[in-house]
Order: sequence, then C-alpha cells, then structure tokens
Amino acid sequence: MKWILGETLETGLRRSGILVLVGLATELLSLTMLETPAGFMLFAIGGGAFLGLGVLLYLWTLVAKSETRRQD
Amino acid sequence: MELIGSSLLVVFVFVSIAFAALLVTRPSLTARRGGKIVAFLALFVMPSVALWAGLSVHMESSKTTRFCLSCHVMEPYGESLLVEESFALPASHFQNRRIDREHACFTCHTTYTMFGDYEAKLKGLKHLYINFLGEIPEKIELYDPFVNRECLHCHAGARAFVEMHEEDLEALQTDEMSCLDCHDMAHAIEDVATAPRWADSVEGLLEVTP
Repeated sequence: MKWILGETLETGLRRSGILVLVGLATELLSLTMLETPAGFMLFAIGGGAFLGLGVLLYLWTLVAKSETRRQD
Repeated sequence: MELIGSSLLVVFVFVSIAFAALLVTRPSLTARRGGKIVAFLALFVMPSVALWAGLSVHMESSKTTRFCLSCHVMEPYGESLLVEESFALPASHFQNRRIDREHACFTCHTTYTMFGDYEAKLKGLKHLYINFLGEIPEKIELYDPFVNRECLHCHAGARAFVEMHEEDLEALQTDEMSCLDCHDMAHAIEDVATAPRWADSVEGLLEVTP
C-alpha cells in the first residue's frame, strides 16, 4: 500500500489533501449547476467520491503511519 | 432559504479549499501540535461537513419542479400542468396551488412512508442513468399503481374532502377503491399539444411569491 500512502506521513497527508481539494473544487462547480441533473451527478460521482476518498486516505494514513512508528 | 443555504455552503467550500491548499503546499506544518489540529480540520472535519451539506443541498434541489422538468423527456408533463382542464388532476392542483408549485412533481410522486424520500431518490438515480446513458421508453409509466396514501397524505381529514367522500371514506382508506377510479384524468400527455392553455410556461409560475 506504499504507492498510495507514500513513504512518509507528509506524503500521505499531501495526497489526501489533493483528493480533498479536487473534491471541493468539483463540489463548487456542481453548486453552480443546482437544480439540474448534471449538477447532481457531478456532485455524486465527482465531488462526493473525491471528498470521501480524501477523508478515508487521511484516516488510513494516520493509522498506518502510527503503526509503523510503533513497530520502529 | 435554499439560496441562503447554498450561498453559505459556497463560502464554506472556499474556506475549506484554503485550509486544504495550505496543507498540500506545506505538509511540514503537521510536525507541530497546531498543525496536526489544522490537518484534522482540513482533511477530516471540513470535507465531512462539505460532503454532508453538499448532499443535503443537492437532495433538496432535486425535489424541485425545475429539476424534474429540466430533462427533455419531462417537458410534456410540465406542459400538462398548464392545460385549461379542471378535471385534470395535476393541472388543477398546480394551477390552484393545492400543492407547492416549487415541488409539484415530488409532492405527488414520492411515497409517504418512512423511507419514501430515499426510495424516490434511488429511483431518480435510475432515471438519471436512463436519461444520460440508457434508452428512454416510448411510454413512461409509474413503477406501481398510484396508491391512495399519497392523496390522503394531504386530503385526509380535510373538511371538503370528508364531506364529499363520506360514503367512500373507508373504501378509500383501505385502498379497496382507488382515488383514480373517479378522478381518472392525470397528465393526459396525448392531448397536451392541442389543449388550450391557462398560462404560457411553468417557469413563470414558479416565481409567484407566497
């Protein structure tokens, strides 16, 4: 799983941050298309998914890196 | 109110972007205790709130008449709300404001049960899929026959309704008799194009203030 989390805590956090940023930007775009099916789909498939993945990656990074530290 | 909600969300998303960008550009901040708190806010709390709020705003906006009628296939159904025909159920409800015009489609086409809204949303996702990627059927039909519960949600107990339906009240409540047995004129799509109109467009009527 190193290819996702990266070597260091900072890399994991940066990747998580990038996912969150993409998610937030997509959500912002979807809010300009309120009351249209395209806006709803953009949020559900794009924004929501990226935000969810970003949060999960952040939590995963914390757990994985604290485990690594304990082993060290 | 919805506009205020979505405007607040836009501001919140901008603030969240600023926090997330700070962490992406300077992840070394997390070496300090304060930085860890910022990371927790920027990568967990704020995205979670943005996700929940975004979902709420989009869910609410998907209940609007504009949303339903934005699909080309729904246009004749929108026009059927404007026909000059007092026996047509959707038209008489819409024109006389017996339903909230902003949520006209959803008011009658959701199920008034515990998970009715979610069920309607799941079906809505299927409709979106069919609209964008699938094949739209020539004749659009309801999934299930219309049950009286959806009408009685508003009409049950109303004085005029009770007085006019005194003899059939029990049969209506137990679904032995359908409301549509007598009120059998719904959207009547086949006649919409030629029927006289009460108004030019649905859009103009949505702007009427309460």
